[in-house]
Amino acid sequence: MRHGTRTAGSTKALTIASMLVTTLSMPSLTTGCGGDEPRSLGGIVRDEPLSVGSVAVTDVTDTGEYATHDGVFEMVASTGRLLVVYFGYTNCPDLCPTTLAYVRAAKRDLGDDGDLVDLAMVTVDPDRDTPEVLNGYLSSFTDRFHALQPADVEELESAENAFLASSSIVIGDDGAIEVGHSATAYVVDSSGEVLVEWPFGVDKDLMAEDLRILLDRTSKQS
Amino acid sequence: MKERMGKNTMKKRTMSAAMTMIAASAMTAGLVACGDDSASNESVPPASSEVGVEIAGAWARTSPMEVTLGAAYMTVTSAVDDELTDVSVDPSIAATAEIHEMVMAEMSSDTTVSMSSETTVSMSSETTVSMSSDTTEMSGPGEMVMQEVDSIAIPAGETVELKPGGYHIMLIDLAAPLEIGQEFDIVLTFANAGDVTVTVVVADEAP
Repeated sequence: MRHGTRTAGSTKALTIASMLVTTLSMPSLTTGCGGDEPRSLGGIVRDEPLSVGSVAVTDVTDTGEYATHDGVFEMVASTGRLLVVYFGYTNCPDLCPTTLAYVRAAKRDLGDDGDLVDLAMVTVDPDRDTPEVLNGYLSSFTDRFHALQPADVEELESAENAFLASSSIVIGDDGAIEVGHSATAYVVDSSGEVLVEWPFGVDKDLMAEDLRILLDRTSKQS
Repeated sequence: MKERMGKNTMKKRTMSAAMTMIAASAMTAGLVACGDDSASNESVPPASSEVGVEIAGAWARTSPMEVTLGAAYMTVTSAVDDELTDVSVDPSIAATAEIHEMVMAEMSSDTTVSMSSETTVSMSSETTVSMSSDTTEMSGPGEMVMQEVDSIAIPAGETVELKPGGYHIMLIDLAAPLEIGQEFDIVLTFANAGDVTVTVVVADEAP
C-alpha cells in the first residue's frame, strides 16, 4: 500500500504529453547532419510560455561559482545568460544523471558559450538531499550551479506548480522510499520566462542546438 | 488556460496517436540519414553464450559525487526465447545489483496539459501544418518512478534494450565511485542461456 503520498496535483499529464511532442521533434536532429535549414527549437515551446521568475527556493549552494548568495534563489537567469532548471533527486540512478550529463555535454559542445549556461536543481527529496549531498552531486556536472533545497513541502510545491512539474514520495511498508517525478528540464531566460522544455529523452545534441539558438537570441537582445 | 485546453479532447487525442506514428517513422528515417546509429553498439565486443544470447554496448554511467547508486545498460539479443532473470556483480563494485525499470506512475488525473512544438524542421509539410496549427493534448500520469522487475523477457530474434528511461541494471551501494574508463563484470543469468558474464565500460554517455 502507498502512503505518505505528496503530489503537486494538477499536472500529471505533462510528461506524457511532453514525450509525445518530443518524439515528434526528434527529426530536427537530422539538421545536424549538415543542412542549412532554418533553425528552430527542438524542445517544447508553449503557446503561452510559463513565467517562473517569481518562484523562490531556498539556496544552499556552498561550492562553485555561485557559492555566494543571499539564501534564496529566484528562477531567473542573469542578464546575457541562460538557466537550466531541473527538479530531481540524487538517489536517482537513471533519469537524473542521464539528463544532467546531457546538459553537461551540451554545455561542453558550446565551447566558451557553454559558460553562459547555468544549472539550477531543485531537489524533490529534500530530506535526504542535504546541502552537502546536493553540492557534491551538482559539482559533478558543472561549477555553475544553484543547489536548491526547498525548506518545506509548500515551497517545493509552489515551485513545481509554476513549472507544471510534479513529484511524489512514497514510503513503502518495507521502508523503501520511492520517488516519482516529472523529469523535464526547463531553459529560463533573464525575464523568468521558460523558453523551451526538454522532457526526458531529449538528447545532448538537441540540447546543444537549442542552447545555441537561445544564446544567439539572448545576445541579440542585449 | 485549463478551460481552453478542455476543448476538442477527442479530436486531439486521435491526432496525438497519428502524430506518434508519423514521428516514429520520421525518427527512423532521420537515424538512417545520419548514419550514426549502426555502429554505436559495436565499440564493445559482444559477449555471447552457446545458446545464443548476445550482449552488446554494455556501459555504466559514471556515478556523481555523493551518490552510491549506479546504472548499467546494454542490448540483449537471443536466438531463442529467453529471459533475463537475475544480475549480479562483485562486491568490490557494489553490494547488490537489481533489474529495474522506469515506468509512468499509475496515478489518476483529470487534468490535461496543452502544448505545441516550434519544431517544424525535417517534417513533411502535411505534418508541419498539423503541428504548428494545433496542440497536443493528453490526460494521464506524468511522473516517472523506478521499480524493480523480476525478469526481462528476451523474445527470439529480438534485441531488447536496457537504456536510460527504460530498463537498467541498478548497482546499489557502490563500493567506490564509478570512474570513466573503468571496466567491471556483470553476470547476467538467463533462464535458457544460464550465466553470461559481460564486461561493462564506465562512461559519461552511451557508447
